[in-house]
Amino acid sequence: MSSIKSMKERLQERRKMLKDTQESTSVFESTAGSLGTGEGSTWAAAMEDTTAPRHQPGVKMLEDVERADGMVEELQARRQEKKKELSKSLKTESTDVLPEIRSARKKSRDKVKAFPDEIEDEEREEKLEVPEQTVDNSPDNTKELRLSGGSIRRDTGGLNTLREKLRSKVKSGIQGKLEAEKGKEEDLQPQRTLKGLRDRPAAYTRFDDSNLTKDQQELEDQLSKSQEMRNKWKKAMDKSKAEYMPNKEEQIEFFTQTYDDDGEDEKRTSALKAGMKLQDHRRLSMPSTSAPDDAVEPGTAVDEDKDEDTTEDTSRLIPKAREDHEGHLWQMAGAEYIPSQKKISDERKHFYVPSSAPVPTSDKVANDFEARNLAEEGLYVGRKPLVLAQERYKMEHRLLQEPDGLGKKWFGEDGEILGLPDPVKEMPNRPAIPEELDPAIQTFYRKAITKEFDSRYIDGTIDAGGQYRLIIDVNTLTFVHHDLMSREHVLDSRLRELANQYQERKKIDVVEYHSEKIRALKSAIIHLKESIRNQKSLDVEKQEGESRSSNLMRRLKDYMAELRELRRACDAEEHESRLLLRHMAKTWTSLKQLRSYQNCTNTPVRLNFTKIETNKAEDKRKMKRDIAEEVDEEREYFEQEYEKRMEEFKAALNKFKQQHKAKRDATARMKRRKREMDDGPEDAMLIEHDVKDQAIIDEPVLVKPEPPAKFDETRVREQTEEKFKEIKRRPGEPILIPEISCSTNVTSLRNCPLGEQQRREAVQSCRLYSKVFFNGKEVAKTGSRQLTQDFTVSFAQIIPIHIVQWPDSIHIEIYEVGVLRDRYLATVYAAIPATTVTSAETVELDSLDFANEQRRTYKHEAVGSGVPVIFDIEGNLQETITPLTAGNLLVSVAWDVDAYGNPLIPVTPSSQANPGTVKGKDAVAEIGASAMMDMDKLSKWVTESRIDPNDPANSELIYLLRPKGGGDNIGGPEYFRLEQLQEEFNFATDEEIAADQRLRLLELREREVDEFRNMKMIPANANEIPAEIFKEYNNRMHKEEEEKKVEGDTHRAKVTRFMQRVREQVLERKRLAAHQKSLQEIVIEESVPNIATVVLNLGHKLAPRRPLRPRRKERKTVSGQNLVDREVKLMVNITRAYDVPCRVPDSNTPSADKGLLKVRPIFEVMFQKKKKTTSVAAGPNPSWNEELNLPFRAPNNDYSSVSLQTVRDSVHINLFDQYVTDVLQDDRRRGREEHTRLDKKWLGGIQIPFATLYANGIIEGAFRLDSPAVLLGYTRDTGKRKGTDDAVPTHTYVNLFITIEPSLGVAPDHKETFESNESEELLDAAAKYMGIVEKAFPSRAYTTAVIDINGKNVFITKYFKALAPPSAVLALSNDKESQMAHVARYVSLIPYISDSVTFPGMCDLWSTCDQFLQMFAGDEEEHAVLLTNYFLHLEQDAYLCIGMAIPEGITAYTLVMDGKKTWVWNAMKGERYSVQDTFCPLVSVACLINNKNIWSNMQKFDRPNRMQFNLSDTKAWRPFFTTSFPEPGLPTVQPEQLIYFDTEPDDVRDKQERLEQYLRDKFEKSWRPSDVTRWSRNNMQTFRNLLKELEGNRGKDTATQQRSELEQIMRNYKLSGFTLNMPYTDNEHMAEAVYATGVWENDSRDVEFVLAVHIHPYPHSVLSVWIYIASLERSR
Amino acid sequence: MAIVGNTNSVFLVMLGGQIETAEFPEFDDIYCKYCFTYGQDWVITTGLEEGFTQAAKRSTYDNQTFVWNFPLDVTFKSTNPYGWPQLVLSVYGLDLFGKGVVRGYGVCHLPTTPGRHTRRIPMFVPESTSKFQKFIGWIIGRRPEYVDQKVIAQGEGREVTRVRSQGYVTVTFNIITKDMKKLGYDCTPSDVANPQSAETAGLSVPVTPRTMGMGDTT
Repeated sequence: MSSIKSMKERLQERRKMLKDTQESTSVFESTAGSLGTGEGSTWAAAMEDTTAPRHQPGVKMLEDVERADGMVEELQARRQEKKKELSKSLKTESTDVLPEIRSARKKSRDKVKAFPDEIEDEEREEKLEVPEQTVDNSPDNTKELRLSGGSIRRDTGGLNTLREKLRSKVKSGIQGKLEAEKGKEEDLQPQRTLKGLRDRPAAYTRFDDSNLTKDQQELEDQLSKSQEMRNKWKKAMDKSKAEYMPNKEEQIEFFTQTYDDDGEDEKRTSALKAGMKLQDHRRLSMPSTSAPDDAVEPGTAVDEDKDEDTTEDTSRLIPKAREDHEGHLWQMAGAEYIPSQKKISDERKHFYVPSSAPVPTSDKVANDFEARNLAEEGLYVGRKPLVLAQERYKMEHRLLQEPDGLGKKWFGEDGEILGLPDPVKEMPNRPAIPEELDPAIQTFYRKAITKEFDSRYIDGTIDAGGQYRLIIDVNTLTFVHHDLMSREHVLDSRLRELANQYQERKKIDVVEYHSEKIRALKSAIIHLKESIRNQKSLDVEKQEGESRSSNLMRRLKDYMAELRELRRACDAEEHESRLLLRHMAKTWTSLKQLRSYQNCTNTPVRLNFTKIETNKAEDKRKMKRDIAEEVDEEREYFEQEYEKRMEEFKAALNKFKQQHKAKRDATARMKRRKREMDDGPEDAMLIEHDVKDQAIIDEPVLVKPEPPAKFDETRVREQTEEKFKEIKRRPGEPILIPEISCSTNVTSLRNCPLGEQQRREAVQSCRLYSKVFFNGKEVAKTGSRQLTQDFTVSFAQIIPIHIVQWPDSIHIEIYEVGVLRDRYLATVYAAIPATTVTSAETVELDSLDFANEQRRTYKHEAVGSGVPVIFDIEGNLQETITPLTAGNLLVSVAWDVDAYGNPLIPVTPSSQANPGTVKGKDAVAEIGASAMMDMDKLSKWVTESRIDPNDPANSELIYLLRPKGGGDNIGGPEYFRLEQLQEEFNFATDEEIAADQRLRLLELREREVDEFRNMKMIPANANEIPAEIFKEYNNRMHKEEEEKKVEGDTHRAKVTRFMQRVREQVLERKRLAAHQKSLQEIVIEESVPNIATVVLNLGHKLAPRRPLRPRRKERKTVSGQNLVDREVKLMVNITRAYDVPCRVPDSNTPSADKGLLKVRPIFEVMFQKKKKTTSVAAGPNPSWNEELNLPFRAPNNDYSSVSLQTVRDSVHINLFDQYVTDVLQDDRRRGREEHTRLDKKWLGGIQIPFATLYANGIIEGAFRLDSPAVLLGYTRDTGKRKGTDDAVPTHTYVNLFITIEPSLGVAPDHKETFESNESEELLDAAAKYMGIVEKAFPSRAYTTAVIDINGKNVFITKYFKALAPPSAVLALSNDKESQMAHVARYVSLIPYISDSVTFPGMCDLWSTCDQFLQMFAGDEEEHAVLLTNYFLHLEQDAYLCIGMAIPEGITAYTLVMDGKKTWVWNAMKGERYSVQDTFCPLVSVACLINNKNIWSNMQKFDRPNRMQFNLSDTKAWRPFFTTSFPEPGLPTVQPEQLIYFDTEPDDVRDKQERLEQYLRDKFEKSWRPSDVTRWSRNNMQTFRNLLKELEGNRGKDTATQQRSELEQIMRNYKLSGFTLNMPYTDNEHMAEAVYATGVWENDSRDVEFVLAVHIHPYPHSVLSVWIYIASLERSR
Repeated sequence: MAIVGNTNSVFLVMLGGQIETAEFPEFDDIYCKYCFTYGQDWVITTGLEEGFTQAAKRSTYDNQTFVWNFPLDVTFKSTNPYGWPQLVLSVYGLDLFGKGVVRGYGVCHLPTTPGRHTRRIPMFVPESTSKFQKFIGWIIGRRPEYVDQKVIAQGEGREVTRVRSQGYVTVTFNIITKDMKKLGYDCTPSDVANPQSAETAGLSVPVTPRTMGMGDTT
């Protein structure tokens, strides 16, 4: 009850609030809202409201309702009006379908509540649009709803029904009472179905539990109690209603309004409103989003409160929302939902969402048939598999959707989808399984095996096959030396060793063996001697016998020699034995000494000698006999030797005698001849003889041979005796037999000195273990054992190894246990046992020696290892030995036997002996890597291993070894080759490649030769290649050859060759560099932002927008490879021109026209022989603002930056004066016909190399036109400018903007750091300096170092040095000013060639002045450097000025300060400008450089006319060398002086003639092929003279005398022509310049041309070319 | 430059296939761009040289593949097998912030033998040069990309990049060749059932100019 009370309070509050807010919502809504919020209790109140009539006289309630109805009607009426006004465009349903719609909407609304999410979206839409269908569908839905409703809710069914009835009444009140019954009927069914969901929350409330479900009466009592309260409340509501109630019309409109074409949400809200109106309290107050809350709402009080809160919020929201919709319904909806609609409509184009509504059968069967019911017709129809009706419908829809009605064939005559009956059996069963399997399909199981193919395993598999086992017995380790041994131990082991040796010797007893042999030999010799004697006597006559006896003699000799050898060996052995004994004795003595010295005994060793007494007399006798024997032998041997020597001696003696005699004779002859010569005349013969004799005499005198000595028996005897004494036991001396015993007592530890104690302890703590390796892999490890005091370790471990691989090696490594790391001591290799060695028999232990060279020292007594040890032997004698750790290990390896005694030894199928034959297949494995190189070895191996030559696996090898010429013997080629099979890969010889057109083409393409680089689809057959394809290339090659030959000796040829060489080198470097990619070229990556860029970006953002001063946007550069098919254009925008010369009125022109005759300028842009012209403007300061587009074609269609840089074309921009000539011959026709000719006169032009344009991207600014020196018939309107500056020559300027479209990517700078010869200090300073200045003004081109022609970094000031210009040039004038002008002119006449053209891809290379003069071409900086150096020579204050200029871009000028004024000189043109000049082409100055310093411009402005040039101002000009870092006296790179040679006048004349002829040919043949070209020969000379004079005046038109001559010509002719002046480059170049003037474009019939060429020579082949080109027309 | 001479001696390689699926764990919303690179002697006669697939979402099955099933249909004409065409794939997708980033580059040669081939092409992306740049790239949504994706079809300049492997794209090729044999290029295995033998035969077969890719002067 308390809750009800509180509810009341709350309701009142709410009401108040409603009033306060003055909301225009209907009271129904608000009440419904507030009621709805009450969930539990309020809802109960609402219940009471509806259920009351059942128990009380229903009048009251009805009254209430009717009253409400009245109000509703009122509202509706009002709304109706409004509706008429407002929404004519709205889609409204006609009133007669209203009930249907309403019911439909209600149902849909119900459904919305039932399935807030899914159905709402899909089905409601449908239903609202197709109300009929909804009605049809409703049974389905009700079913579902019922299912979800649950049984509990059915209890409240009755109650609900009543309520629904009431509700329908209310509705009927709206509609009229007539329809009330109908509405009730209609509503009844669906509404009842809804109760489940609607009432679900009620079922969980406590009212439901306690009052409603259990005892309805109780509830009704309660309700009646609250009735009064409700009425009160209602009244209060009515009051408010009266004010805010919507009228009937509005209400109707509200409900009848269809919002179909709105979005989903619109529908939702409309549905909501409908719901509100229909007093669905609960749902009403809940927007659909809160519906899920309802579903899970539990019936506890706490939850109630919570729900109240939420609903309160929403209830407040809803009216607001509605208001919005009412106010701006259409605009809002449209704006919000257009994108999604569009999206849906877009999706609908692609997506098809099948409906799940049933498809009418008529659609499914063919048009004129009716659906058959097969079952009814008595046909068997199987049961089809169960598919949900919905799914089936969807499928049907999909099928019907198929284009062309293809889907229809899927439907049977009965209108159902064709399908087989359900194949699933009703009853599950299983097939009978036979007891026994068919043997054919019996399964066998086999264990999986892993097979290895490389025969590493004995049986080819890892786990199959036999059990093979090796037994390794690691027994005892004995150290011969160990680093822990004491000195005594060293001696001890030595003694033992000696004893062992002795024993060994004894065992073999070599001496005995030898003496036995000697005895045998002796008897053999005696035998032999006898037989020789016999032989001699027997076969003295026989020839055979002689040979036999000699045979015997030889044998005898052999025996004798052998005997001698044996004796010697025997003696050595005996000597050895004796030495050994003596050694032992010595060692033993020193051991004893040592023991007594160190006061302890460490080793138990003791040496005893057993003496065997001998008989002295017998010994003596024996010795005597032996000596005698030996002496005999010696004698015999000696005799043999003696004979031989005797013979030799005799021969030598003979020789000596002969020589002696010859000499004597010769001397005599000489004497005789001398005498003869004294007497008679000289004779050639005699002299010849004389010479011969002299030669004989001069021969070296042979030494007289000594006869061999006789056998000296006594000496030999003595020697032998001595030897015997030395080696052999002396007679009577006892035989000593050494015996080693271990009988000495070792001193116990306690009694030892400290050092010894430490040593012993160390020995005790020393532990060793060993590792056993099989085939290099560790397989076992013995336990670590302690080292005993006598330095043995007994491992005594038997290790069985189960093996699967062929044994290759078994080795054992010995380690000493260490603290941190075990110390490796040694490795011993054990032999792989033969198959006979099995563990069944006792196996002998092998003693395997080892040694270790590690060096170790100890502080205590131990001697260490690798350390020299000094021993005292016998008093003072000292002996040093350096013992190394060594020892031996007793090991045995044997094959194991199994339990039955069968040896576990692998058996190889082929041969038992060689277990490795399996590997025999592989030569490399068999004989090692040498098989790859050594053919002999390989072939030997092949023959030895007898590999099958027919085996495909060996085919390669056989092929390799097959003799080239045929034949069977296998053997490698006779030569060595690194790559054996290389020749086989040379599929064609070089000659063949050269001969084959196709291969040649492919090769040239691969080499990236220009002509072929981009060649496509080279045919597969050579005969398809047109022969002319090489023509161009061959021509070029030929020409280059030709050039080399023809101009062989001239200077220019040398230059060309030099350039060519440099160019080739550079190109090659460039090509390599192009293939060397940097990361930036391959990967685009976000660069790391730094503070500067961030600030800059922010600055951009924050900068004020200036819409009237638009900035040019950065264009996207297009890389070359994307350009292949695109058109590249050159865009030239000509804005305006200044100071165009004006026509001078002809003398015969009427004076009235004088003022009018100005000029009709026109610009013509020519590029790559394509021309475009602007329109005609008028006046001396015309303006065009025209954009001309010229196509650009890259050479060979290659738009890569490398290729673009080499484009040599220039953009020619020429200014003409267009004038119209009346050519109408017949005056009578005038007025009816017009016949005029357009002629143009060249007024000036400018050439911009494409390279410059490409490098700069954009060229923009005011350019000065190069005007001809003499402009006949024109004058400049200079009057206006007179006052400003008298020194500024008047020129024509043009405002231009040139760019390439699309913007072509400039090759990235090679930021390679070039090596430099400068000092580190200077480089450091330069880097620092550059850092400072570039940071301040990043856009200025500061420089400290440049790259010279060798690619080295050179400090820039090194380029400056005063250099003398040619004296001839200086001699032209005395005045300094004009000298400078002459020098500048001289420099400007050196041809220009851009570095990027000369050295494509390379950065700017600076050549020195001598290189420049030698190459005879260079770009701006070379000119400027030369000019600066000349000026320095003229003692001017000259600097090189690096900055920006138009049109060159970054360039170099020469700057001269002459005290008052500062001039910049353009070295290219030889002209100077004042820095104050506005039209100065230099627009920005970055730094000034001369031989002393570099000054960087740190001023705010870099335009020359806004700068000051006071270099001492370090703030404005930052110098590189300062007082703190003075110039270190850098040596210059320039030569001491420039050497000039004189120009050959003949050569110049020749050139001049050739050029003239060339131009004439061009004129006649190339440019005017269709017209006759007549030359005005009479006037040629006049013009030539004019030209000559012009050079003298440096192009200034001052020659009045010439004028008069010209004027004479002009009197007779209409002359149009001008002079051209340029440095001499090549004919083609100059022809192009002439062509650009367009003089030849005169098609008047009586035109004559004048072409005069004059070349003015300057020293060093610098030539100034003057061309006068004019057209003459005889004036009428 | 112009095509040299008359090109009677050409062979055709026809490719019909599909960019079928992709495996890119961790990514979603990816699409693939393909293009072909081929030598100078090659010309596409019909078919698209470049194309984009639709954007695909990851399948929810356990293998999480992306399916495009994007048809490739192109016919090449050539005179020289040098520069055999390669299929260059680049896969792009949206990153965490919805910016398009590259997810992988991959390349494979067109199979030279006629028949049906399936290739599982491993994909990779260039890595940032530093951790910081990687982070910046992640923030800005601009990961390192190849300036020209065709760079992965050539060996030049690759040494300067570092890449990370990303996933796989499976492509099927159906190759038909015409007139290859006529020009002396025999690229079918001698025994189709046992293609191995053709390869191992290698050296035992005497090398003739024909098989080495040389036209002779008949």
